[in-house]
Parts: sequence; structure tokens; C-alpha cells
Amino acid sequence: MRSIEWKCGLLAALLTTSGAAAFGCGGEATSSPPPASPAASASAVPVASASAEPAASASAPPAASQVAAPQTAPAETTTKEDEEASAEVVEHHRHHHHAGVGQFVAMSLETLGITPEQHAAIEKIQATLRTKLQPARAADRKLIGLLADGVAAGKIDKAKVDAAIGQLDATSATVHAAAVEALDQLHASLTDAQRMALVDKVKAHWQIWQQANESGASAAEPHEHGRLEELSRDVSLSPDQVDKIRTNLRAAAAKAPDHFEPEKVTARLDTFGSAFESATFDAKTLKAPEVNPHLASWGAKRMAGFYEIVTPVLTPEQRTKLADHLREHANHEEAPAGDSKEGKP
Amino acid sequence: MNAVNHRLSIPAAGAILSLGLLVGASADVAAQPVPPPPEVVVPPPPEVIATVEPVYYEGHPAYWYGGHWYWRDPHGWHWYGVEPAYLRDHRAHAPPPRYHYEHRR
Repeated sequence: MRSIEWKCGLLAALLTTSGAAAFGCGGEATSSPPPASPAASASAVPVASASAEPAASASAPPAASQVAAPQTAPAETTTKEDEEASAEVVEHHRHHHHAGVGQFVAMSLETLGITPEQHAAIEKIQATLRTKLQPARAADRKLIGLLADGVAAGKIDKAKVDAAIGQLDATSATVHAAAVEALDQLHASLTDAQRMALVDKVKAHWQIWQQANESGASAAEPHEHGRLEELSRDVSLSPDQVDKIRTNLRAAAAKAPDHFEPEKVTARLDTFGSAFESATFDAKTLKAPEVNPHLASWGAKRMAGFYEIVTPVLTPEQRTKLADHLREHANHEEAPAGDSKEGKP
Repeated sequence: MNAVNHRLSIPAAGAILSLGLLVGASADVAAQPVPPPPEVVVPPPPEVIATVEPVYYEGHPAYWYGGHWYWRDPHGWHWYGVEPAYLRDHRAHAPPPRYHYEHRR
């Protein structure tokens, strides 16, 4: 009988694998998972998208062995406006480090796309968030102002800058507790799709932030939109100046150990994302509030360190131009809620 | 155990009768090419997601990028091979704006 049971099990397995199981061994065969056929995976795709073969085939979660499948994307077409908008958001993350993840949430609200019916509620929440982030924003503004003064004078006061970074660290540490209620209200005010979009945007800002504030030896190497390349364009650095600054950046990277832990931020954002996309959400349950000061102070140190290295190499005219540029960042006002046209040239 | 054996007997008999057929069929199955793994769609760059207002369609935020609409669900990112009429009309009449975070440029 064992032989028959074994054969039956084998047959059931064969038939189930081929997707044609017409009979089974008691309840055993029917307890096997259904075949992962294209038809089964396509059923999870909205009707209008089912016509798109790539979407249909990608709708099922890939198995572990499939994660490394070749990635595909249609050909990219970008306009000058696209390039400017992309460069600007990198530039923004390079110069504004207040509030950590709280800043990413506030920025994400600006492009979320809300209905007229939601506008009043979201504007109120964003105003609350802005108020809660204000101490960190003020510390950020003070730091950039100090850097601008130092650049203009030809020497950055490191003690004052370090104190300002300490203040930024302290104020950013209070952001999560202060914003708990606003985050809960935000979750309650948004649709499922908007919550999904907010999470995507917060994670996108985190990716951009990492690109804008690249650390270690690679940060000193040439990049198309690197910090040094942007400065070179802004103040017209000579090739000799670029070489000298790059050499000093490499030396500083070799001397100073890198204590940044991006995996902590990523983990925090994954937790936030899963919780915020759920039907119920309680911001109080989100742990790791130390991520905000970690992010804020590390980014601020990177920014300050860069200008400390750059300043002695610049001409007086270049320093004046750079100082003006930094003061523009210090005075940069954030847009009202949901107004995606604000800030356009 | 007897009850189990009894329940097994009918399908087991059917299985034995079908064994010869299945042996041949299994050879054919083994000869089938392995289907390609599911496509992993690369989402639009973060600069696009961060600066473009999505269009909400079928319960998903959708982003126009590189000539296609991209959207995400809990399983991952997808794109429409054929542009849905609603999104095509939306793009024609109200193209999604890019948000500019800096004033000076």
C-alpha cells in the first residue's frame, strides 16, 4: 500500500505541476498551492492594464530566484524642464538637512496630488507639520547662514558651525514626537492610493538625499551632478581649482572615517511605508526616532565639510557668488500645501 | 489508516490506469522550454517620483515617464503596454507638472 500511496503522491505532484490535476489523494493534493500560471497572475491586474503584457507578467511577486531577472525599461525621453527639476531636487537635498524623515514627508506632500475637497484638511496638516519642523528649519537656516558668512569672509568659523550642527541635531530629534498627531491625521485624510504615493515619494526623497550627500572616497570622484561639478558650474571654477579641491576632498575622505549608517534609515522608511500603507496607522508605534538627528547632522556635516575645503581655493569674486547662493538656500521658503505650481520659474 | 487507504484506492486505481499515458506525457513536459521569469520593471527614477504629481487611476498612483505610464501595487512596479484612454486624455489636457524645489534657476 505504501507503494500505491507513493505512486499516487508522485502522480498528484506531476498532475498538479502540469496544471491539470483532475483528481487527488484524499485532501492532500487539493492542499497543494495552485500553479503559478500567467493566467493566475494576470487576474490580479486591473482590467485596463491586463492588455499590457509586461504589466500582467509582472503582477505576481517574483520568486527569490527571479529577482535577478533582467530589468527592462522603455527608452527614456527627458526635456530641459525635466533635467532642471531633477537637478533642483538634488540641490535642495544637498543644502537642507532639517528634520530628517519628517522633511521627506513634508516635501512629498507638495507633489502628492490632492482633490479640492481634501485641500483644506491637507493644508491644515501641512501647516501643523511646518510648525513642528520650524525649530529644525531655523537651525538649518542658521547653519547655512554661518557657512555663507564664512565663505564670504574666506574662512569658516568651525566652532560656530559645529555648535549650529549640534543645534540642528537636537531640534531634529524632537520632530518625530512633535509630528505624531499630524502624521495620524494625514493617514486618515488620504486615500489608499495617495498613501501609497506618499510612501513612494518619501522613499524617492531618501534615494535622492543619498545621491546628493554621497560620502566616502567616491564622493570626491567626478560625477555628472556631483557637489563639486555643480559648484564648478555655479561659480565657474578653473580646471586647476577643480583639481585642487578634488585632491583636498580625497585627503579629507581618507582621513575622516565614515560613520553614516544608511541601512538604519532604509529600515525606518520600510517600517514607516508598510505601516502608512495599511488601513490602520499609529505613528506612536514607529520606533527608531534617532534616525532623524542621524540624518540631519550627518548631512549637515557633509555640507559644512565641503565648504570648509572649498573656501580657501576660491577667488574673492567666487566667494561672493557662492555666499549669495548659500543665502538663497537659507531664505528658501517652502510652498503651501498641495501647490505644485509654487516654486516654478 | 483503513479509511485513508479506502479513500486512496479510487484515485490510486485511476492513477495506475493512467500511468503509461503519464510516463509519455511527462517526457513531453520535460521537453517543454522553461518559461521566462517574470519581468522586473524598473520604476521611474526617484527624481521623477519626487517631483511629479501622480495621476490616480484604478486605485494606483501612475507616473508618466519615458513614453509610458508606470504604476505600483503591493507586488511591485508595472507599466501599461497600451496607454489607457483615461490616462491618454489626462496627459493631453493636463500634463502632470514637474515641481521645482529651487527658485534660482
